[in-house]
Amino acid sequence: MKPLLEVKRLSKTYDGRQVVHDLDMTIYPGDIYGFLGPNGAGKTTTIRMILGLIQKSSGEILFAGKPLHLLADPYAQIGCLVESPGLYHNLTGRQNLVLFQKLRKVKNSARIEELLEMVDLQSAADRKVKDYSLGMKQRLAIAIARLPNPRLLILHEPTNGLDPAGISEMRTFLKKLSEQGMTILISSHLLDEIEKVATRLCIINQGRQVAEAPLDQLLHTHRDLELVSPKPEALYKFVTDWLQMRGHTALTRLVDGNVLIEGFSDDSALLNTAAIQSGHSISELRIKTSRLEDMFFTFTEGGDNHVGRLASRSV
Amino acid sequence: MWAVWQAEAYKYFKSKLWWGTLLLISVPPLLNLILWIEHISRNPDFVLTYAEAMPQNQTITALLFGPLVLCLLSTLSITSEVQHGTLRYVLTSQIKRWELLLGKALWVFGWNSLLLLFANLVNFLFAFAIGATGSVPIADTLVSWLIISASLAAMIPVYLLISLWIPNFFVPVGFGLIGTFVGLILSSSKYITVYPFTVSVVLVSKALGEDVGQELLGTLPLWIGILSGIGIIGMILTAVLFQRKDVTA
Repeated sequence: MKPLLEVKRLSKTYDGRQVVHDLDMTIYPGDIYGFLGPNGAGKTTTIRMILGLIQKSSGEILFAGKPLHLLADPYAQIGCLVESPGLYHNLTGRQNLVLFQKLRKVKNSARIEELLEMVDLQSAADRKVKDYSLGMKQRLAIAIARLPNPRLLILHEPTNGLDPAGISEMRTFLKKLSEQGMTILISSHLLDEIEKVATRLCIINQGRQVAEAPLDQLLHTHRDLELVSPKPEALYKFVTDWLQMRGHTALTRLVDGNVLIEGFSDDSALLNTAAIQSGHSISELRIKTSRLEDMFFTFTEGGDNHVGRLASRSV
Repeated sequence: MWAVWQAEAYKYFKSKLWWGTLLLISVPPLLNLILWIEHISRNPDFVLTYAEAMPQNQTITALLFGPLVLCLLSTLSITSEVQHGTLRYVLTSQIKRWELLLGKALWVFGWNSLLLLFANLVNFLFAFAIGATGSVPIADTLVSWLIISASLAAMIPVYLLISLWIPNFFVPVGFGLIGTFVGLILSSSKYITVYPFTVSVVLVSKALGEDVGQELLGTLPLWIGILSGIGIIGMILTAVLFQRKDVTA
């Protein structure tokens, strides 16, 4: 399958300070692409470069295989919600849609009703936007982003300021959009939410990419193995030597009297056999599935050295 | 560009701003009316002619209220976008940056010109109400209206540029107010014939066919040409700078 959006070695330098370093992203049609990173990691800059709001210092942005800046009408294919919904507060919801319909050169007037229905704002369409709740504003902004029926929707912090009900509503909405075949790039601090909806993930830290892969693949790679033994110290020494002998770089720790091997689970049966043959007793062997949150902190804590080590793990 | 023009008009007429600008531009004819009533109360034989009524209105409109409305419209067309966070969405629609600027500039120019025409109309209505005599100088009014509109347009790119770089309503408006009041003080000087903040009295007088003296260098087309040049160069410069600007608002 050909990628819908490809970002190649994208960089941005402000006054001699590089804030995005050679970033690569590949988004396939139908993906819900989670774009994660701590505050100041370069997410906003990257998204603004993709949207043409900020000039890139170097690199390439390709849409359906063609350089974005060479497309005649690139933003007919891309809709966005960046940080906060930008709406004219003195106008009603419907008037906002009419105004953006003019700007986006959408001729089909039935599209407005269709979108109002889609975001469930029909009953509030003739109320002024200043009287809307934040959730309603977000939904209206998404309706505006979808006016030209884009192939890619870029949502940067779409759940900012939403209450739990609003967040759940947004999640359902994103899933519905994905089922309709919409490709979505979503950036959020709510890792649980991303874990629930994303199919592919990119994590950046200090402007550098530290991981990019399908979410299930990343979570699988980062499963931990926990070994319960009556003599954990001896087992710990054996496991460390065994891993070193086999060239594994997995980090081994003693946690609460158990041996924990981070990011290691595929060879667990082999390790179990080797330990028993060497006279170690293992009473229990648990494969601990990582959560996105654990993985995120593994990737983003520890600075550049850590980043370098983890980048090699990315798939 | 046409899409931007349409969107600006739509936004404008759906807001209360258009009432505000109509009221503001109606102040010069209102001041004239007060002046004429005062004349009549002092001298019951005072007879106003339409030919006298016209330049009184054009002068105050050209010097103060026209520039002020133009400054407000230009500034608000950008700062309100930044304030509502809509600029980034407008720029990620199918609108190119130069189209956005030109569309806004043409909207401000067009609407400001119509407001100036409206001020003339109100002025004649007031004159009619107090019993003005003679014929309405339609041709002279239209010529001076065109000159004032065209002259004021030179400042649109400047206000747009300032608003884009410092998107705080008070900065471009403050700049415009200072420039306008300086222009007002110096308006009778031949040296500010091409002063872009406000339209020189000399230029308006020249437009009205009055004898402005031999000291006025050049001819009317030259002055209009210079002001148009300022406007066009300003627009190109603004578009080039805006094209390269990172939009973070």
